Amino acid sequence: MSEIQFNSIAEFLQMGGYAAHVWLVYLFFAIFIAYNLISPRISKQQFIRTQKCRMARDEEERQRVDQSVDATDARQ
Amino acid sequence: MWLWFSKLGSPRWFYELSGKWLPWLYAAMAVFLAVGLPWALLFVPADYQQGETIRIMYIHVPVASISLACFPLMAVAGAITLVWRMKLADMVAKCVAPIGAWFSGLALLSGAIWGEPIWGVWWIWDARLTSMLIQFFLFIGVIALRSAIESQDAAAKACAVLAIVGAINVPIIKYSVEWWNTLHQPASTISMDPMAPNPPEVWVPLLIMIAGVYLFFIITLLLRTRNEILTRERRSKWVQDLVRKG
Repeated sequence: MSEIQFNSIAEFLQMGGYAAHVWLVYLFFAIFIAYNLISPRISKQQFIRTQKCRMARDEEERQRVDQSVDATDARQ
Repeated sequence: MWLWFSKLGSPRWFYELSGKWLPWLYAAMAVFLAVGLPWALLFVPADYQQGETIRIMYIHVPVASISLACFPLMAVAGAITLVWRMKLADMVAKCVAPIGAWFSGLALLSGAIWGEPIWGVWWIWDARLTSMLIQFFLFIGVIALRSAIESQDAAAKACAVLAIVGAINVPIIKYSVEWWNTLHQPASTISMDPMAPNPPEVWVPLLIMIAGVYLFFIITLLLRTRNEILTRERRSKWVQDLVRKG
């Protein structure tokens, strides 16, 4: 491994006059990595939230049906 | 072998196994990128012709080469879906399409940014660039096709066929730089000789970056596939138990 190729931080940031090109590519790469690691995690959390609501709704529905069946049975 | 194959086809088994793999994959990716990125940005010597823009190669080459792996993977998953009707294979095929589009898009974008100072143009209808653009549109096409067909089975079959047919583009992209006289340079050879045009100090960090980006690809594919498993298996008891715990 060779040594660090730049003498100062300013020189490193300037990238030999190609700062815009080099840093733009690395910025896009950072966005690409971050988005593709974070967005599936957010989707999973959303799925769990939606699913919890749905399951709670189904459970309420089931109880209501059970109660109405019980009430009908009692009347008969 | 068959037992393993049928077990792998079980979404639940795959979900649990991939959950165990993920922390190791994250750790390995972090190590490779933590070594590769500073090496590429700080230690690689500037190219005698391209100057500091050579550092773009350490993003462009890994991303472009992995984008070429996405289509064959989607085609193989599609073929398994068609032949064995393995649900998991279709889930992988579905999840790899947007990832392939991302990789192809970034390969095109980073290539354009690299091309501007070196070739003097952002874009040229060169065989390598054009075939890569076609691959990007094919990924978009696969995603659009799947969302346009309501029946999950019919969508799986149609996308599998498109993936298999579209895979013909991959060798065209790969060998375009040899078959045609392109502005895009052919693949470089690697050499152990420190005096060679591509000495180890140039290609070793590249290999490290390729390994890191490959690990990232595997992680993001697993994350998306795991979400797809949960969505499709949402009525099964194991997913409902998982939701209650989550």
